[in-house]
Amino acid sequence: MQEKPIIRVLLAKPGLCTHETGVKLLAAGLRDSGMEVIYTGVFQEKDNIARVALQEDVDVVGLSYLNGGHVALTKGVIGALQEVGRGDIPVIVGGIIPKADVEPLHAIGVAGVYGPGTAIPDIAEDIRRIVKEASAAPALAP
Amino acid sequence: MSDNDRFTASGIALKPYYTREDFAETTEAQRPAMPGKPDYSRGIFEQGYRSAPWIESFACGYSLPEETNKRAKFLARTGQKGFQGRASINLVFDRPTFCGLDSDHPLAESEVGNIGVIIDSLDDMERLFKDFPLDNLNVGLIVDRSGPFIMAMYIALADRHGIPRDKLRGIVTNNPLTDMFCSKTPMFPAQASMRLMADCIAFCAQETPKFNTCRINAYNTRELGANAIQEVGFNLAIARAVVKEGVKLGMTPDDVARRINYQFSQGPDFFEDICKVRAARRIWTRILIDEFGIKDHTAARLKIHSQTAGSSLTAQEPLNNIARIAIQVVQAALSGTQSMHVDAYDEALGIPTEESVRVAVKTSKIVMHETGICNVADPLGGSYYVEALTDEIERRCVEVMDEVERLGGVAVALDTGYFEQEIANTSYLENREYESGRKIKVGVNAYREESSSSFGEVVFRPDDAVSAIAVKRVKQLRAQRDQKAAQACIEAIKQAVRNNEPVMPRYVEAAKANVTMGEMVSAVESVVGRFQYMPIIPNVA
Repeated sequence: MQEKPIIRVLLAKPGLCTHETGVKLLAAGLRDSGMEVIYTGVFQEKDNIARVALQEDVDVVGLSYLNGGHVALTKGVIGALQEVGRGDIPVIVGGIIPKADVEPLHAIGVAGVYGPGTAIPDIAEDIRRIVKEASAAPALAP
Repeated sequence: MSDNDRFTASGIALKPYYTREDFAETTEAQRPAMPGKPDYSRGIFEQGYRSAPWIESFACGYSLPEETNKRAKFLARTGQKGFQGRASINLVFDRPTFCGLDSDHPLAESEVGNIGVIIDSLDDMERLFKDFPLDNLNVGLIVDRSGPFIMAMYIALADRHGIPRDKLRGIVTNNPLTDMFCSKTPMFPAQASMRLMADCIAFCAQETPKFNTCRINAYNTRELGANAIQEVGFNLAIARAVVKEGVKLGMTPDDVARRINYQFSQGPDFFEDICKVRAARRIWTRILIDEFGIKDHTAARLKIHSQTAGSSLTAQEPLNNIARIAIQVVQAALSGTQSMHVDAYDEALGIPTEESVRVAVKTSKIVMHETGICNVADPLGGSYYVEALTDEIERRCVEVMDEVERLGGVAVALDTGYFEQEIANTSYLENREYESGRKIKVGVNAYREESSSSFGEVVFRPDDAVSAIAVKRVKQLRAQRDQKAAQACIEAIKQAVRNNEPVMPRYVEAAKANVTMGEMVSAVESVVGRFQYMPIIPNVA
């Protein structure tokens, strides 16, 4: 399968956390690096995130957290993506993520975890790798 | 731009040095004023900190109310003191409470008690304030859209203990306007939010006259990425709108102004962050005297709570934050703040530990007792640089305020996302300075210690069981109360909101009838509806 020319990224803030300075900077930074970015804003329920991911046919979903609900909420979003038949879209997570939670996030299928101080160009590069790997993988049955 | 050019954090170009000529534009008689005299740029008290040092008002709150009660007692033992030696407790509420949701709401799942204390009902307030004397306490209730509801519960608690309402002292932040572009909660529409905020201010002006009932939370604006000019300009524009709204409900401008208190950030530009506070006091005094024509000038004294900038702290090498915070405490003291929250050095990682909180309290004490800063009011007054920078910041803030008016005022600026877009752009441009290395953040983009990064260590986390306990409590409360009385109270709230009648008394009654906060918020929302947020990202390149 060929790599799409422009990577489409969905960024979302699940739950009640509204610390969004970081995700806004990431949105602008990924845009500057040539990606198409859709930012949902705050108070996103998992089903809505999955629906937007499906409708917009994005290549990756990025979830941003500060409040500490990241493992449970991310699990919910991954489940919702599977329910709309797009469990193949890789999910990445960023924000204040304690070390102890990085492994549990990988265990539920998160493709990348980015803490404070990660340079945006590094995240962009990682997204390109993740998207490439995902599109190389055999398509999953819906 | 040459390598030798220098700018403040907000971008004001600086000279290599300043002289008397740099602030001589107005007459000798006009400035600099005396401390304790209008325009209050040099501070609101003639005696500065001689009569009383700043109130130590350290935000605290997590988990079940009895856990936060323990932390508040720990802070008291460590030496935290309110005004004139009173006990002081400054409370942060968890996201569901902040958002007006009870702990058993589906959206509250996995957020209960995470970053603030859980409050669903009057019983929770009882647990939270156990052993604290409500009639001899400086309380801070940091809660905005849900402010009137929490304040009503606090009044109901005082009533239950037979404490006269006029003995209650403190602040409820009660500012949904800043909240609409900063902390963001599921919000009532702008006009309804303003009216319900003013309803709380008006009720409390009568019932709890020693309580401040609106905080202009400039701090949160700064944390979102605003510069010092936007921090002051946007928020003074909002404060002006609050006074107008109170006047609509029949209050005098003096009365409204006396209920307002400000929170400013002390961040990474020592002189600019001090001077912006001096400029803010001057502009506010002029607005109240010239525009609103207040008679008693003491009502124009801009009361300030300062917080060291959380956004200046780094998750990398967190001990470095102790140095940052100590400098910011000095800034706050030199700006003439009335109260202070001193961040803990591990706040970039999570809820602070007892040890880091103790260091924060002691940092305040060290600046208070070991620097001599408190001996003289406004010790920087008359410095060529400080006065010139104050003047320039004042000029730029007034420009920002004029722009808000030109757009159609605060309500329009809120509805169109103007504040948030401007701040997002500032934040984006500033972040670029750090990414390019033109600005230095020690331990982050320079002088890094690869091996000693402690990012991501769990410093503190509430027990997962607390959520289950909170859910059980609120369900039990709803099941066991007098249903007829509770329903009648909920209907009374709806009716008062529908008829534009005072609604605070209805909240107080509802709290006493064990109506939960989520139910009160839902009752109001069923009448006024909900504000729709639009996603905003930086649109400059």
